[in-house]
Amino acid sequence: MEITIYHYLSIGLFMFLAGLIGTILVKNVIKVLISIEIMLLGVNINFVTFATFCDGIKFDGYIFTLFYTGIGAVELAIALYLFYLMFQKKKSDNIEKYGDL
Amino acid sequence: MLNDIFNILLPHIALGGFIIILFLMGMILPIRMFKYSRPTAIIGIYVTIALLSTVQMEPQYFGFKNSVMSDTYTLLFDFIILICGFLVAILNRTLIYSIKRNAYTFYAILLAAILGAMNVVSANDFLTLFVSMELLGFSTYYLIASAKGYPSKEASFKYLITSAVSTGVFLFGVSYLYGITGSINFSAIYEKVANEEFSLMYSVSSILIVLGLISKLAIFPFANWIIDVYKGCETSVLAFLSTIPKLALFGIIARLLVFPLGSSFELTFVIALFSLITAFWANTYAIKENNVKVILGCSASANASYVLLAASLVSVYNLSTVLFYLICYVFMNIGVFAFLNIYGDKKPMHTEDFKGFFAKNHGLTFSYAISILALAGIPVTSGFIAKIYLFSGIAKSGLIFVPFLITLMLLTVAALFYYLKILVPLFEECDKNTEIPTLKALFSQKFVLVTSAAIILVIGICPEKLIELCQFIAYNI
Amino acid sequence: MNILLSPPILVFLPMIVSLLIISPLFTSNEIVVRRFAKGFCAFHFLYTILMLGFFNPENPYVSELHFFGMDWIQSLGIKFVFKIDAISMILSALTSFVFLISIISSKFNIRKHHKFYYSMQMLLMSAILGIFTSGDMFLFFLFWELEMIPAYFLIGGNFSNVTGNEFEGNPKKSAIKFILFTFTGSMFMLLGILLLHYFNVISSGNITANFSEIFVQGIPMKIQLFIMACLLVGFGVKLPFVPLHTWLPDAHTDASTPVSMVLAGILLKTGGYGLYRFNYQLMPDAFRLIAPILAIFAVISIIYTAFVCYTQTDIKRIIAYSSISNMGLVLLGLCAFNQIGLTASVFHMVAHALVTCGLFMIAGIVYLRYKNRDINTLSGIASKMPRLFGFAVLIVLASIGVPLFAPFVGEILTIIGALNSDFSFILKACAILSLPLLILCSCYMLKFLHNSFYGIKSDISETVNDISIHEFIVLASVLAGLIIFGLYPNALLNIIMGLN
Repeated sequence: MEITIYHYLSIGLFMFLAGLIGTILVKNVIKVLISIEIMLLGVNINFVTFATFCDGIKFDGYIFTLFYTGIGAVELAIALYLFYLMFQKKKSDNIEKYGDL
Repeated sequence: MLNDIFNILLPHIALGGFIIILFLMGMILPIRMFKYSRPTAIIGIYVTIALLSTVQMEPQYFGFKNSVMSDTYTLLFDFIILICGFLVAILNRTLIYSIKRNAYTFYAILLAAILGAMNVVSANDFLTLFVSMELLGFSTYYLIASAKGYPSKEASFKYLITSAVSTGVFLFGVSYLYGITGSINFSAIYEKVANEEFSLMYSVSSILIVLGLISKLAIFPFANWIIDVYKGCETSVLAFLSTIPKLALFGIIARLLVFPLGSSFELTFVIALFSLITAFWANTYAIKENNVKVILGCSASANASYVLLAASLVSVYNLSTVLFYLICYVFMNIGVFAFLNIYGDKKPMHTEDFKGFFAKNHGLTFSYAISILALAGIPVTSGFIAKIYLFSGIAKSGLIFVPFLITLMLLTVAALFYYLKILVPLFEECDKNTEIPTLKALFSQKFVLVTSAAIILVIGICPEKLIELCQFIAYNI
Repeated sequence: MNILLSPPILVFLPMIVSLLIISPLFTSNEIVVRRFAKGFCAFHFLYTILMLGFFNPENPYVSELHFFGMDWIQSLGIKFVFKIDAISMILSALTSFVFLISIISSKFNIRKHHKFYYSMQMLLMSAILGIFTSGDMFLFFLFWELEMIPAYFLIGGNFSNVTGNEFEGNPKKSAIKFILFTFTGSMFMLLGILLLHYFNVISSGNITANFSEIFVQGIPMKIQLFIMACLLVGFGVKLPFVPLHTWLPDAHTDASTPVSMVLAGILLKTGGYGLYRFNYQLMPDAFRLIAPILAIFAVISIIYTAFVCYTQTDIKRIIAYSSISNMGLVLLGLCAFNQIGLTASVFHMVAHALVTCGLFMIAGIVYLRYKNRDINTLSGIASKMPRLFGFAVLIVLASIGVPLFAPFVGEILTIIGALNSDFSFILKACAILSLPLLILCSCYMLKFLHNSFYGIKSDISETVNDISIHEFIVLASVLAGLIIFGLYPNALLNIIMGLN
């Protein structure tokens, strides 16, 4: 079987949707962050696929992937630090405990 | 290359320089010299405004391989963003006195947020847009979390999660658009879109892109964060949060809707629907609320939805109404939050807590009342003109949109109800045994409050020049 | 002369005085504030009388005394235009007069927040004068919105310092009700104005919002009717006619006496004026189509509220419902769509303003003395306050339409106008159906007079002061107006007739 662009795209879509549903349904803060990372990876797969199959000249998609990986890492670091600050008060990783406001 | 810098990016680079200076000062200077951070930041913003005047007013100027652009539209937005940043920087005095150690970092990051906002508006490809948006976003997380105590951290965390998810959605849309058109540059995409027919995929990716962008404006699918964030956030940071990201995001959304995403009818319909849902949700939610901050959050969301509805009906006239509404709106918000900052962040902020304030604090309460009346759209304030102008744009877009307009108008009646809920206790009489506090306002806070009230009145009485400017810019985009 | 006597001064002088009174620099001594406001109102009344004196009904704008134009927002075609024609002139003079007597009667009724109260009164006056004189749709709408805020504070303010009384009601709730109704109405009106503006631009290519430059002939009739309906909601809330009237009795009952006088005397007339200015004058063709339906609404509100009125026991509620009934008559006069009907409806606005001010004044005086407004428990006022009784009899007679008084002329002319209208039999039927108003009106008014003034009640034995000099002046001036216009209606009719 030949692996076409649609196979890659469906993997990307699947990962994106898995991440999106995960952020909505999961009750554990760390798992929410992991879901966000999964979304990010799904998007990255899309970009790489399109850059490989559709855009043979400029490789904008690869650059986008690099940037998004870096920025996503920073975002996650900030999120983890904020969670650490909050965790000191609540001592729980259940997202429903963090509903003071 | 040098030409690019001087034509487009000189103000941006100057602002970046001041960010570095502030970071360095924060490292070198002892903590007790924290109070010099504010003047430095203010000078930085001032210098940037001055440099903005050196930018060439050419019709359109692209630089850095078409990744950034500059025209009158971006200049206007840069200018308004800087003015807002100036007022916000002045307003933040009480906050930095409570976080002395981090004062320099705070201001450096405030400037970084302003820089991000300016770059968002001048972006001409999706990569620049994405990076600048994240610069704005990261700075915002820090600013929200900067106040001491747990609530600000929770607010920041919630904002971060929402932003991260919406960024994912945005980039997912961008990836498909990239796949369809083979480019991430706005101009290139626009050329392709204008010449070829694109079907469902184009509409889907446009909708995803706009959905990702509007989360920062608190529009329907990602709207709930605004209540928690407004509750947990310091008022001087709220003055930032309710103006600068909004300006930047509307600046880019309006441009996107005109150029690369403009050929999709489904997009217009979906956005209009989402804005109506948001307007409905925000206005009805605020009716039963008593916390002033939450009411203002809902009002921010509702106002954003009105503007988005007007922006989605793409036309030159509507673009000018959007510009005018935004310019009027940011000053109202800054005025309101300046008063709340004078009142104090630590005190409870229910509507009854402001009872009888007019009796003791004439001038301050009067300016605050002007800002609230402007939000409610009562005459002699800029809000009235802005409302009429915005609605006239929607009415002009065709009879199909008249039901939308009627809904919006009925929702503004609900809005009037909760603005009155804020406004009326100020003029009420207190019981004999409760002491009405006399507010002690610093000169800086008074300056911000009175300046914004004055701007509201001036625009309300003679709006002609500003409307002309907005129309000129909208015609030249 | 042009500089001293001009419409912007007429409109903006009260606003300046309002800002002056509220500013912290102005004294907070209640007597000084009141006398200042009173003196200003007297001056303003003289000013309007002077303008009325220079007014030329045949050709109102020739002297530039009653016209002022300036560009404001050119890109929307909004101009800063004030134009005073006959109806505007008469209603402006009426406004000035009603505010004068309202301020005079404030002495005993207003007990706290003097600065705020008088400032809001002046602001309301400015806004209402603006409504009556503006010559531009958006300017009209600006004043229309501006008027809501002072009206809200005046209704909800509870300035009279009487608490714990069952008659005090809930002013705040009434004020909210008032403002929500009015604001909803005004939003529909804004929609109407925007559509009118937009379609006028399409059909005539002329970006303008000026009343005299809008031509609706090019607009399709369906759209005209839609615009008409939107505007009707806006003005119908203010006028009010029956399905939209529920805010009125609450607002008028819970406000303090001077405020009720202003509300019933002037605020309702803005609705009638707007109906004339927009629906009648700008879109005559559409109005011609819709007039019979509107006449039916008018008759329903006349008859229905008259019956409701009969069941009320609170004096102020009786007067409030009778206002709705009378405004129905004004609406009927407009629907007749002829010279007599229009003249009659303007005349009746003036007459009703005078009557209702007098009646509210009487209710206020009674309430001040007895802390009671229930006609079933009040009785024997006549023996305690003979002078008030004299005035009350005359004003009540005026209100039920006895000849010699102004409302008689208004009612009769309205009905003649409706009978003469060239529409189908509907308007004639409406005119005949509204005749029972005269009987019903006399029923509830005489019931009020009989129950509260006649008879002897044993348990009120303490002496009550008869009317004071302020109250005498107010009642006497109202009565004088009623009799003058009743005996010599041509004084007004000539001015109005000169319009067309």
